[in-house]
Amino acid sequence: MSDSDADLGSLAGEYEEFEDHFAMAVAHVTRKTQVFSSTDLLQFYAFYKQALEGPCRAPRPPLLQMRARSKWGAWHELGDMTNEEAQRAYVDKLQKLQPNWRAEFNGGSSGNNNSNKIKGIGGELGLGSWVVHSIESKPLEDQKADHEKTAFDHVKDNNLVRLQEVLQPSDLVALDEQGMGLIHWATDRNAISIIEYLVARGVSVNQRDAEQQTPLHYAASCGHVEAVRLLLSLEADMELRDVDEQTCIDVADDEEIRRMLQGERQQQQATNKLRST
Amino acid sequence: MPNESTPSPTSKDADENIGQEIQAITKEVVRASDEMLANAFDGLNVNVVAPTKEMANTPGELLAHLSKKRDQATQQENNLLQVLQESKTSKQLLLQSSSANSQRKFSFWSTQPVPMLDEKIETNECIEPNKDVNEIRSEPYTLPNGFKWVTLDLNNTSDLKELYTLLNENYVEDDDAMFRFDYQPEFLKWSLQPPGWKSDWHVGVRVERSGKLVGFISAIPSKLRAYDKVISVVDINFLCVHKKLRSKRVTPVLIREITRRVNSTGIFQAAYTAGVVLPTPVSTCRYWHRSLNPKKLVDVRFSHLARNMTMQRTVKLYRLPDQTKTKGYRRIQPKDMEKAHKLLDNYLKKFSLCPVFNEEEFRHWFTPRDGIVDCFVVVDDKGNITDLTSYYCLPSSVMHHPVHKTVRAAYSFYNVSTKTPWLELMNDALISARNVDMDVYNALDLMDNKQFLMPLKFGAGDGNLQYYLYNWRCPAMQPENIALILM
Repeated sequence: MSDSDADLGSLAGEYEEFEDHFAMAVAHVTRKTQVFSSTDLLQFYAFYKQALEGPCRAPRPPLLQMRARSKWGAWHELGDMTNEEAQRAYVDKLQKLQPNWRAEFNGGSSGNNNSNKIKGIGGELGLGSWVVHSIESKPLEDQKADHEKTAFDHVKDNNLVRLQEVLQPSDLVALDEQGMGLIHWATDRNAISIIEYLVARGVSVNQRDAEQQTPLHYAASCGHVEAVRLLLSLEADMELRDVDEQTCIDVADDEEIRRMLQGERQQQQATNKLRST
Repeated sequence: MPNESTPSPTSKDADENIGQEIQAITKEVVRASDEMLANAFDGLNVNVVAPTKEMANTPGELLAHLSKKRDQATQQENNLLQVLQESKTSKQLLLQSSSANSQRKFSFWSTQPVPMLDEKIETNECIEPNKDVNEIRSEPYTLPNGFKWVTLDLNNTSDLKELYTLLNENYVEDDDAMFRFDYQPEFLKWSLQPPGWKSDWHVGVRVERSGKLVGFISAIPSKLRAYDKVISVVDINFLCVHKKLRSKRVTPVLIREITRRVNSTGIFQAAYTAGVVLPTPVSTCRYWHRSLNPKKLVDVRFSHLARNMTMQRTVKLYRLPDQTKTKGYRRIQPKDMEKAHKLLDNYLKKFSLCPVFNEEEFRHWFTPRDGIVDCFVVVDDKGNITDLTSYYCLPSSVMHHPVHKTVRAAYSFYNVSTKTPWLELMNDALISARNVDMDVYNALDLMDNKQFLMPLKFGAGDGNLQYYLYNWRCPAMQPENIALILM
């Protein structure tokens, strides 16, 4: 396997693949000229000329043709840089100026039609794909900037570090507009370390949401095995009922969870019996 | 894009190929620059007559200096002027990049009998007349040095395994892809060995020295109806070139070679699909996805929870009954084949592009095979088959996930509803797929699928599938007029 791979490597250098990135980068810069400074554009120009035509052999333009002269200067300065190096330099420069240019090239967030563009170009140039592997489109919603995010947002993002920074004592008991507390969201997202942190900060492991559901109801109905395990180890109460009179066992999503909870219940009952005798 | 209404200029840009786009930009920039240079030239010229030597050596400073002097130019013109410091060279530069791109992009397709991207088509006919088989080149096309043609024998386990590996590792070309198709060996045999298959059309490319399989393309025979004409075609599929050879331009050689081999049997038309836009799609379809196992799909990032959506509600939203509901709904049996074939054949008449299966082919494509294809029918009290639903199974490997290695996907194949309403029929199809542990049910927005996609909670996918005909020119079709599924 590795032998034949090496074989392949020698037959087809990665250099030509790089050309494809270069073509994409040129297309991007050509479309976005207004966002680059003139110095940067001059450099792009020089790399471009070097990549396509090689070292600058043209005579230096007369003193009065200033624009021609500055471009000539930029190109000439690259000396004997190879075609490949010039392409690489072009792409690297763009990468440095606009780290996200590929995403932008791909159409950014503005919808699905654009995603064809990169495939459309790439397919023939070697990037992107003849083959389409579709996944569900991301829901369209406004992205909040990090400084606008509340404790609830950080829990939904499963971001413990930021949660620790912004968490206020009042957040510990608050229910949001959906009637859920932080620990309900954390359980819904199976965010184990956040559940642990919240309980350590004093959130009740049996906190009720607006429908009287406990974190265990969430863990069981979502089928989050890890969260169920953690909540049980934190001595969550399995017998609490929601507004529909259902326990966490009644709402369990699958058999595995149901068996886990029933096993735990039997164990607790046995322990209680032992205690009472 | 045939299925787009008059697009705004920006979305139009997004849809057109980059070659056209760059051409348009070139024209626009050149026009603007000529105008602007004419406007600004006098002032400029006067002001830069005597620059100092230092300025000439630092282009940034020089340009800043230049800009300052151009009081009468608008801001936009300023920007343009910075770009187009010298009109002629800039024109050249842009034209070069434009032609380099478009030439590169379509240098191959411009030699092929396919409609041009902007062609207005009102006929339904071949592009090139059929050739006499004697006129077809008899020797294979030339591969780059160090590679050789082979014909794969899919009945040979090791050939089949090699094809499986090549596709598994290279078929989805994007290295960063989170998902890769994982066509199972038995699936490949099913899709590449329908009635009339030819081993000569399972074309491989091997490295001469090591024997490693690095390229593949396939054709299978089929009859297709395009509007009012039934034509003998091949379906081209599984075009795959090893990642390390992408730049070797092996793809055009593969396409030429399969064309040669197909032509030499007297077939001159083909159908194929691709994610990429080439000259020229007959239709553009979109994938839709219906979660059957939403928790797993979110875990592996196939689906995404909106910020304020809970997993709890998501699980409830996609929950399906344990058992199918339609009376008389059951898996298709050998005795159903004749009736079911007629049902489908009759149904397909209303579409503009569809396969014309004979009964043997129908049997091949619709006989249930574990983990490959499944088919269900609804049988009424009199024993008539009134409805049919089918899907094929194509798992995807999940890259870089600690727990989940594969997403089990069902792909809607052909469905017919005459008595059972679409929503009931397809809801049962979803239940059937869920009951064999499929994680997601995928469907294109073609045939009558739009009737049930939204109501049954399918979500739009991020991928389009372009439909192409080779050596056939006909007016573009809306997805709902397409009834052709290629794996």
